[in-house]
Amino acid sequence: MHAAATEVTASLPIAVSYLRYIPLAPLVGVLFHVALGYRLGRRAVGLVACAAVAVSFALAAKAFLTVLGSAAGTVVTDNVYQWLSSGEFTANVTFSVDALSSVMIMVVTGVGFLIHLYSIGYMAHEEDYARFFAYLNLFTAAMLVLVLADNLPLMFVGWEGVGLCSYLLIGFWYTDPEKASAGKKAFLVNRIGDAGFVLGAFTIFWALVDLGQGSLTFATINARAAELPAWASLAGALLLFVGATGKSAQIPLYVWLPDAMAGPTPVSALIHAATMVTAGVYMVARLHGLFEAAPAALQVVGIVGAATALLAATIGIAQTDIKKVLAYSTVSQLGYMFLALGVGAYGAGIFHVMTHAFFKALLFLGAGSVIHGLHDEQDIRRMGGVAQKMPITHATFALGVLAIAGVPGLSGFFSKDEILASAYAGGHFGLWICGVLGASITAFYMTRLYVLTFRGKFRGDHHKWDHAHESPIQMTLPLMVLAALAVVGGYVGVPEVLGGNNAFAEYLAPSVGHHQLGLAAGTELMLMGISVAAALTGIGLAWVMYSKGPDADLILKNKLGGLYQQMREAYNIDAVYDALVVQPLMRASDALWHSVDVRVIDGVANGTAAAVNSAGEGWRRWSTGNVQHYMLTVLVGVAALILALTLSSLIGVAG
Amino acid sequence: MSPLAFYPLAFVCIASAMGVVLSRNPVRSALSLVASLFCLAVFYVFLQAHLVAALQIIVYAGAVMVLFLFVITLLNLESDRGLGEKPVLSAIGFGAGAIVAGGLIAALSRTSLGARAVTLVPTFGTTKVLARQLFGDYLVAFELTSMLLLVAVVGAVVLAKRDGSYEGDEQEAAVPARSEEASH
Amino acid sequence: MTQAINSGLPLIVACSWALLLIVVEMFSGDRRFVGVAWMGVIGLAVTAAMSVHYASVPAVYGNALALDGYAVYFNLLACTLGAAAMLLSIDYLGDAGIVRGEYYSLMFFAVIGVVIMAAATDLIVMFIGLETMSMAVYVLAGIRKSDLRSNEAALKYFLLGALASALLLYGVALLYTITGSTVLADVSKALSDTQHAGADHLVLLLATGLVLIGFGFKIAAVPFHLWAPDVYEGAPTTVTAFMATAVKAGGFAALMRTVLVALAPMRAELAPVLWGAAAVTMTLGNVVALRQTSLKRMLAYSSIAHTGYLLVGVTAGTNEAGSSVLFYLAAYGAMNIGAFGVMAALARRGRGCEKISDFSGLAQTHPAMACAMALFMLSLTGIPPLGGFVGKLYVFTAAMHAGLVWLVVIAALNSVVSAAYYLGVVRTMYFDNAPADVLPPARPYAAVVVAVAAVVTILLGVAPSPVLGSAARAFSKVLLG
Repeated sequence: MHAAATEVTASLPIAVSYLRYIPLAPLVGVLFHVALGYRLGRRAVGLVACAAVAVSFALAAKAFLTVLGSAAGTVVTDNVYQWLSSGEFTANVTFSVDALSSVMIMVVTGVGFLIHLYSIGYMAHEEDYARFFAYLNLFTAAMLVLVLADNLPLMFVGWEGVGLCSYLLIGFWYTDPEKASAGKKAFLVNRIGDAGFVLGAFTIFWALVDLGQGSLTFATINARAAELPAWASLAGALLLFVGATGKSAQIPLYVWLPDAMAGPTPVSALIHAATMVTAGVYMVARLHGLFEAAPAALQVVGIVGAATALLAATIGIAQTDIKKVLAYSTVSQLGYMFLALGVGAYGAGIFHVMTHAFFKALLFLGAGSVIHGLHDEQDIRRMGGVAQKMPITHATFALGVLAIAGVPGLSGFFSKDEILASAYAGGHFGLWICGVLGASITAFYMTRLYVLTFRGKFRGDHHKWDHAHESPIQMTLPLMVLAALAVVGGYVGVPEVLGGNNAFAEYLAPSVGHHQLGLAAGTELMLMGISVAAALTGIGLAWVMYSKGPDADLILKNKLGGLYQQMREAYNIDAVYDALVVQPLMRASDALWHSVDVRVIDGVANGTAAAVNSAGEGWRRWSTGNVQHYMLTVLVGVAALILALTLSSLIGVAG
Repeated sequence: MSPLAFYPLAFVCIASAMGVVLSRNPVRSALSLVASLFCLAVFYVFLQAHLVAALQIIVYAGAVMVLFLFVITLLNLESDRGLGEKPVLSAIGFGAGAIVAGGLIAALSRTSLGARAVTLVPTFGTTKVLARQLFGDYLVAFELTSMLLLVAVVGAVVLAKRDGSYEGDEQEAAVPARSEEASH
Repeated sequence: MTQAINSGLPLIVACSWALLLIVVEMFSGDRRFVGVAWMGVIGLAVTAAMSVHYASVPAVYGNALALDGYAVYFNLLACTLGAAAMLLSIDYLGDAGIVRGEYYSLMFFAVIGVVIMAAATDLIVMFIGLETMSMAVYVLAGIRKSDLRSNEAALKYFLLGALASALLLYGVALLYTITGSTVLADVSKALSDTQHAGADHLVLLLATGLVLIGFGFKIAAVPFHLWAPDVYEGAPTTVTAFMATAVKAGGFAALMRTVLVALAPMRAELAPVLWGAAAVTMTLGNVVALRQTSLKRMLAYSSIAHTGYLLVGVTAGTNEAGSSVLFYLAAYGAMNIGAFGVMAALARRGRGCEKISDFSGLAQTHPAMACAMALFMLSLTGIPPLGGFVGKLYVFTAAMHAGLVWLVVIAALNSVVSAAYYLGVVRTMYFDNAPADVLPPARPYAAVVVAVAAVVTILLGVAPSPVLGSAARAFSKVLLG
């Protein structure tokens, strides 16, 4: 089934001591903003924030070049100190960079830097400038810890850190209660995933202890995964994948990501492109040894990925908020990444992480530029013709759309095509179909977004049109850089059938193994043709339909009927969760509280104490009810305990 | 101890103990307690623990109970309502109580204690032996108990003593304005 | 003999110091009692230092007390928490209308109670320690006499506490009738001999149950938790801080020694009951906490939930689990002292500081306090790399090792639920607007305590090794055999 060759080259460690400064630099930035930010003013804050990430980027580049320039399988490690140690359990604060994490840190710091730069312009009118950049830097630091960690506990620090920062950043515009609650939702959904992560880590740890290996470093887990009992690797992998679905917004935990649009646009870009959401993908790739030891888990990963890719794409068609469309496209694209992991094509998955980071950051920042230029207009039905007013934003955004749609020659094409080819080659025909369909739909709704925003005539308020303007250079410069990357970023992984040598996959092979497609050149070209055709169909259809304006939605609505309404409301998953989880919990809380505690306690605490004037009367109230109820509870408790003890003793005797 | 003496005494002891709990009148409760404590003292006598018996009567049945009655009459406490108005709760209470009582009876009636032969030394229960125990093996417990009593006394004084600022507090609390001066 | 006296010295000095405090207070002209408070703090420091200096393994005074590693660990913990609570109380008391110098000596006595509970190797002495602690705390809870809620809290706590104590004492008596001893080690030995003499089995079960209830009440385990929200809310905030941390530590100190040493032969019967108590306690605490609007009540339910987590460690009962419980108590102490400390620092008469909504927009008006509070909330949630996370990690790891897989699953799900209400506080502080009537600046003493608590919370997460090591050493000799 799995064509992945798992012979991962034995690692050759190089000990260094500069890796720790990669996450530390933004952390110092945080301290600076908190301590001095308000005193030194905006320029200093923006400068320090960007400089901190630039330092990280420089050090990351150094590590990357070291890995690139050394023999295959080189790992640069920085052992800082022993963090946790008790009995069999040890965890160090050790950062390590191998091929896989070097790609990630380059993306995180590189794209992260551009987003920081962009934020200087975008947030220029924001009051709480220092606080915003403090969160932004903290977010980057947490993500870097996550990526650089060489063991699961340390990864969890970053893992929770990004969750927390996303909460803070999404809720940044705190005057809006809806936004604050979106942040909370993001955090809670992530916590569910985190519980999965923790339980998965526990499972693996104890299975490893049974093998005499009390360690949770990735190297150990991957090396010994094959020896784990089947239940342990399966349970561990599935639980960790639950964690991944939380961070990377997959079914069933994707509900937070669309709501996360509430945050400022650069934050959305940071969450969606460079950091948080790729954490789950990275973790699965990092633990590929474990997942390969549990093929069933890997299958689940693939199916969930494909299903998410398709489902989110259909939702994307019906959205009217520019950021919501992009949000669902992120969910969908993440689905592709998991699809790749699920079929064992880890390299392809990470390749897509990288190209997606480029074009999705570009699209988000472009959308931000539009929103900025149109004074906070987000509804694409009230846009149109923006191309005239914002030529740079328009041009770069168009490139982003073409890249994500998978038009040949742009970055998205190479990575998406590699994923689909891998799925087909692995015999996962169903997944491949989902992928192609999803690609077509993606092309359709992205074109719809582009046409409605930039083409035709402006449909909104004239004041907004008159004041519309191109964004300042701090904002357009990152757009141009990202557009360039979105175009050429794919050329590091040109497949052999097109005359390339897939250098990217070669580079990653020591970390995640080499995935052999094993397809005939003709078949591969045919597959390529099919996906290109699918993409072009989507683009063409949307172009024709939406050139007439947003009313084309009605055509879809008539054709799809009730389904369209469902798509528009994102299949009402929120309501389902609310009814199945949130409401029962709240009801249970109220019931427990009112039936036992309030009646016994609260009556006196709140009502009576205020009403009673003299202490004597107060005493009478206490003595005539509440304490007696209490004692009754204690008595029942005693009886229950006696019964329980007798029972457990009887069972003990019987057993 | 002969069963002839034990069972009637035990009956009185338990009946008066139940009287403490069941009586709605505080004075009657207190008096029932005196009776119960007396019965216990008699048990101690039968068990050769003469000193403990004497202390029981002097300290508990005597001093402590006098204080109890004094407080009750001083405060003129009235009869009290029980859980009566909610039959469900009473039923639950009786049920749980029955389980606890049943468990206790079942447990204690089965112990191996009856089978254990205990021979007492002739000096058992004398003041001297008791003192040796109290100031030897249980010295720490004894000393710490004295400290515990001290804490209780201090606590009682703190709660009973009228605060100098009590009246003022009431007035200040009635005024919603913040009072900064108190903290500086 | 000298050694015996030496290992008793810390306790003797502590008692004398507490007496001295009463006397000094009488002559104190200062209505703020700053000097008395500082004297109390110094006394606690001396007690802690002496207990470290005279630490010894064997039990002294007729097997009644042992100044072993376990006792020393709890000594340090209780003295630190007591000192923190005393420093928090400076200026808070006067503002709350409590002008009683006895406050500090009572708190000192309560710490002594905890110290005795941890050092006791005899059930009677343990009981006296428990009563000393309880008696002092009953009075402290009701010391704000002009406040009906405070009175009510004290009375309720006292009546129910008396009931629990009676049950505990009855259990101890039953144990004594069967085993003929109150010394923990002897009880254990006698139990393992008589364990299978079927006739006594039921009595032993009863006795065990009654002892469990006595301690279960002090640590607020379900269904003996009902007093906690009420008393936490009614008592002065600084006393609540003390109760939530030091009193709970004392309860666990006694519970663990009793269950894991004296009642070790009853393990098979006890384990399922403890399992159930842990599961029910954390679930109920967390679920009910979701709907609280009063921060104090919310923290009360949170403290019930944490009792549940700690009981997971007690249920596991291994060396590893025991030391993880010790560590957890330290981390829990730091973050709860901190959380209540923030409330005490900002509370002013006539200006409520107990509802969660009172903290609206705290991030704008008191950035440092809000930041510290957020830190404590996150630590309570179990976010790495803070103390609460490491504590949970160790307890759950140990429980997993002991085979309590499903209990750990329940605990992990519980900590998901708990995030909702802890985060509610953070949201209120950071995302809501500050009211026009801004809270006053934080009190300096309390601010320092909060800052120290915050630093400790971070350190216990980032560099837990020293405390973890001492917890492991402290617990290593507790279990018999």
